[in-house]
Amino acid sequence: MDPKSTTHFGFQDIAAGDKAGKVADVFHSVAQKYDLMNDLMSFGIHRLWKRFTLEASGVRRGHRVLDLAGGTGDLAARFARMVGPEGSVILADINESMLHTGRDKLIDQGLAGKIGFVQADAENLPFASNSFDCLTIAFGLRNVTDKDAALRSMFRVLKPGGRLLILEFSQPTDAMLAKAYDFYSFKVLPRMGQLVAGDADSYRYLAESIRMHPAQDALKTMLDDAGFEQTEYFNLTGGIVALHRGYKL
Amino acid sequence: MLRELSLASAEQLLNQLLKLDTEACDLLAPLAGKILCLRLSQPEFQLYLLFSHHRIDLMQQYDGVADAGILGEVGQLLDFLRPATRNRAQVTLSGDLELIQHLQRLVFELSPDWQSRVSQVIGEPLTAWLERRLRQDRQRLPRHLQWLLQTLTELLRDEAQLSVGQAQLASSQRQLSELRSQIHQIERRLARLEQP
Repeated sequence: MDPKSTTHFGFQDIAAGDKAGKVADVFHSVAQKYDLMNDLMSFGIHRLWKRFTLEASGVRRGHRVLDLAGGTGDLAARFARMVGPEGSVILADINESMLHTGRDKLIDQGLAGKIGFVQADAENLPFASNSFDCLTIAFGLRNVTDKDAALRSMFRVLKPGGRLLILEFSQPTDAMLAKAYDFYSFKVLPRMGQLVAGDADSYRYLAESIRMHPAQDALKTMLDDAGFEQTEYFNLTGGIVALHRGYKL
Repeated sequence: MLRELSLASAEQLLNQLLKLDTEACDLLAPLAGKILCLRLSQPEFQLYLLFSHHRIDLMQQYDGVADAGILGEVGQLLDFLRPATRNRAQVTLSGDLELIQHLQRLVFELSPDWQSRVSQVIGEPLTAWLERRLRQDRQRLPRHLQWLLQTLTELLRDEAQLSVGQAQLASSQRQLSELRSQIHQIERRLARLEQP
């Protein structure tokens, strides 16, 4: 990465090399209350978005799955049950605090030993090429500094025929919904963050980072450029969230 | 999202019931790691049950092969899972029959201790009254349930017959697009005729 290049951190322009550290600070701060805040912020709908992702994953017994930016392990827990003892699931996250929180939660759910935990950077995945049948990244890609490099890295570790699923906030397709969503994101969300997690800034960053993330078609083009084929996306809840899917063929 | 919401609610309810029975884990143990496919014929609907040691996950789409399958109408399926009516239920079974027997056993023997949970909210005297009331109504319950299931099955069957099928929809769309192109042709012809 060019040391002089810049990137965005929410609405701010910062040196590209500083982004990972700043994002890490955000997630160190919210890790303990992450699940609670997810439920509050999305009114529990994030569970339905994740359910949609699981059904679109095509994961079955014996598959090897990588849940990237897996955070507190919502997807990994279900994947572990879908792949059975013949398969394997790895939960990877760049953030140590999120990884610890996720590991503790999954141990409490009786999934110790069924899921591997790896601290990994999405831009340079520490896995052999052609190792996974499915790779998911839910609400993580927008925090990655060099998204193109991350997509290329994901393409590399997928097996031929494997699929990538990106669940991420996106652009509402309806103008009225977009206005209501803006009001909620910038006025309500930071206050909710302050009230529950004692941290308004992290939730302000969340709202800003969503606006800076590529819209549906732009992200689809990025997937195409990284080498994925048969790429498509599904708008969920009026485009507030979109699930992108692509195959390594 | 409605489909996801219904499935998530059903799954949540099912797993809460399992949590309320201390014996549930023993009943689930022989099923752990297995996958069962429930297929409704009227209307057509498919549901996969993924069993693990502590819970059951529900999925409508699963790309793998299920260990066992049960095919039938809603009412027949529910009859199959009730001890009193299981022998007269008309369902088609496939795959691992032992798995299906274990599922029947789970349904028959599951006895969620709802009283302890409810008494925490409404107190023991009210819970005891509610329990008594439910026990009195228990005899009437199967009759009501049977009527409800029959009505539901008939309703779903009627709705399935009335609803537009994929083939019919495609055919209507084809006719519509043919009609649209004919209108364009007529408009072009009219435009040509109107030219001096």
